[in-house]
Amino acid sequence: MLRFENVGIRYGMGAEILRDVSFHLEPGSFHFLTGASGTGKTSLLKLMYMARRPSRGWITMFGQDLVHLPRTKLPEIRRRVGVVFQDFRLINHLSAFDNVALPLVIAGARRDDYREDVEELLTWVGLGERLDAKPPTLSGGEQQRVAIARAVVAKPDLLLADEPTGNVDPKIGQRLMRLFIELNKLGASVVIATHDDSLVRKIAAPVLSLENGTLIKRPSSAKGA
Amino acid sequence: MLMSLPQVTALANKIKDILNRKAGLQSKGTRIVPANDATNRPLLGVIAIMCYFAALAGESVLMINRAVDEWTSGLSSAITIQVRPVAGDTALSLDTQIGELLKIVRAAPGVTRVQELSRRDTEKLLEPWLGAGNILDELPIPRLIDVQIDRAHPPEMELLSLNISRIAPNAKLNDHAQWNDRILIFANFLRGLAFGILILTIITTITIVLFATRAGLTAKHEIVEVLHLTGAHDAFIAREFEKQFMSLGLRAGLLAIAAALLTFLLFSGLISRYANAEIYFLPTPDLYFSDFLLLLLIPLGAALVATLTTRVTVLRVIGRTL
Repeated sequence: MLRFENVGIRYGMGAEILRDVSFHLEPGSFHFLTGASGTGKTSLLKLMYMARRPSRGWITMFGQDLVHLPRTKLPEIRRRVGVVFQDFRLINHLSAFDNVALPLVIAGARRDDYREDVEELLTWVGLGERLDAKPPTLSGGEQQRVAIARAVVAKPDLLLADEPTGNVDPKIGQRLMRLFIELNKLGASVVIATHDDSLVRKIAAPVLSLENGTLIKRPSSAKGA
Repeated sequence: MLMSLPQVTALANKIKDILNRKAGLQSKGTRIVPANDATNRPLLGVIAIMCYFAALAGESVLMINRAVDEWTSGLSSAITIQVRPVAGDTALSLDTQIGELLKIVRAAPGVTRVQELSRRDTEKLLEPWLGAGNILDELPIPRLIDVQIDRAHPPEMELLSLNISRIAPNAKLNDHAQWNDRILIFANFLRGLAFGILILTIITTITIVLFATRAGLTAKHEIVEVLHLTGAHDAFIAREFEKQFMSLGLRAGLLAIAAALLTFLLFSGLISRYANAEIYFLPTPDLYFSDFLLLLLIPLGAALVATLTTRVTVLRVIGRTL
């Protein structure tokens, strides 16, 4: 479903941030992406959600060569990828409801068709009472939950989440992880970038670990994995 | 607290239900790029002012056209025959010449009406400058014949002039062509000037909207980025910005036509209050159907210019991204 072959990326004439990154994500797989700050996690995610093209190497996603695919074809691929950004990237003048509905609006859905779904999803992430709240009036944790709901609402084939439980209390964090797991059970591949070792230890999933710009694939470190 | 297995299954089914439902058609409720952004208010004012100038310039073109039509139609449908008395001419002999001339001119094809300016009328015209009295007998004042002609089928001027000079060698036919030409040159200059101002106004408005769109894109780059990464096509993003600027153009245009109408009412009031013989040449300030059509075109034109400029700018800027 997603394959990286000897991928490298550099910004301008600087040194390579990622070097010879190769891995393959099967459909329905679940991975953690770990690594200290500055090891290239964000750059790797950017390549995965097509915010950048690699400086070298090959990337294929859903059978398409992302390196050479014309940019006009990219939106269709992006619609199959849900992203939870570390800084949420919510649209401040839109309500929580409209922020979550955004991928469906972009896909051409009618409000009447998605209203129930969006309300249910927001209720599930604990924001059923705050459908009309604008992001600036929400706490960091609440904003994060809106961002997660937005990432999963269109049932993506690949979900990328950058520190998705970083701002929420453990109970909500667990509930959100359950959402990712359920999405994964429905066939979506999930990649969760995190610094939280305890999260990695709790869920039995292989780990993509970045060290100095190179990727090491490790088996799950969860107990009983 | 972890959920029990039945709870998890129920949840999984619920999520599956939600996520498996098919998306329908276009949303009508959400406005992704805000229309009433505070940063747009100065822009609304600037575009309204430009539209106001465009309305004034456009209206000036229409008014000048009407005034020129009035002037030139008055001049080109009339000719004047001037009969100058020469030494030895008496009033009686001049009257005889004029009587003959009237017969010839009336008989000429293309002439619709012939009227001699009577001695009494001529004296009356000159009275403010030369005083009352038997002026025509004392001074060699030319006698005038006003001839109205059919503009579509005018008389043969050279032939008419020849016939006139046979009867009265000192008679001169004036078809006002010289005045007509001068007025047309002046009118065309004014028309060109107003049209030039209109074109400059449109170009300035396009430039302002172009820079405003770029500034708007920079200010809203986060929205653009989210839309982009969520799978929006360039055309979708451009449409969202177009909606904002179309609404802005419409509102600015409506403000401008309100201000322009107020200006014309004031102008009309001034003309009707102070109109007299000295300013007869001023264009009529009445509003006709064409004026209302032009004013209606201003907000529509502003919206169209804003929409197209926004579309081109947004597509060009987004096109540089991946």
